[in-house]
Amino acid sequence: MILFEQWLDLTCRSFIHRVSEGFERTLSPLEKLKQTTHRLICSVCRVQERRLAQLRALVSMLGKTSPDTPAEQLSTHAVERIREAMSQSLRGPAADETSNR
Amino acid sequence: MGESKSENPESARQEELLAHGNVLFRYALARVGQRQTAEDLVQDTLVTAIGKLHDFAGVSSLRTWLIGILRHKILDHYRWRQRHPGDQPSADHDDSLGENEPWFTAQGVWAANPNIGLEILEGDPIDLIERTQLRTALQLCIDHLPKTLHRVFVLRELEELEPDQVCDVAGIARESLAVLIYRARQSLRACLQKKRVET
Repeated sequence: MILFEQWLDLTCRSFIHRVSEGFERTLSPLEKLKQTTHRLICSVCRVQERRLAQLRALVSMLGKTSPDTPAEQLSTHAVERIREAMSQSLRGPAADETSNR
Repeated sequence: MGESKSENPESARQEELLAHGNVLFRYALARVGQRQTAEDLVQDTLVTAIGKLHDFAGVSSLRTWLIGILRHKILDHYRWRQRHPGDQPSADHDDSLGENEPWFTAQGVWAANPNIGLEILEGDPIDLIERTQLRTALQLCIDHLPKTLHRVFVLRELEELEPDQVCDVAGIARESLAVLIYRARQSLRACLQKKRVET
């Protein structure tokens, strides 16, 4: 039993760390075997692994969709500032062109 | 938008680009977390766009093209922040990387059940993200990550950059990436749990 625990050497903490790492790189067969073993004996980690995957999917969706709430709109002041900056940038190259002729 | 604006082709082009302002703003805000910075990024994007409008081939939609420009601006912003750590406007993010992990005991076992309060995550992510309460909570939790974790997390999970690109833009060592992302995910999980968003 002690030998098995030494071989497994996987606490909940290292299991979850490894789950996260698994999103970044391919785990080795031995790492996968240890993950599977820990998953079998720890139901809390099993659920937590699923939650992390769900959280990841949710964050990914957050980056792809955009709600239309007033707090997440450009202020009138910002719109005016941007409009002015765009006009200025249009005037800039035009003025240069005129002077080059 | 008055008639006089559309009579002038330059103004019409300007207004056409400005019509995408709010979409660009939300995209930027979700990634940088600060209104002022997001507004500046939108301005830079639209100024660049109006100067390069003749390069727009029309293969993608105008919005996609603008978001492509904005993405570059955001990456430049992160590179700049990485090179000028003292000039960052946000003083509210503490930069400790959370060496202590209160959710584990010294033996590496969960100190409390980490799944309680996260039932909300069950279900289709597309439907879930439509729920304003959850969306707001998630965004707040991301915004409150410590600076380094925030930067790395956004680049990897929202921008979906490859690990090597994340390290390049954020200026971190490749071997640190997995640990930083792990800490960010755990912090996020704990934050959401604390907020206990109702189902």
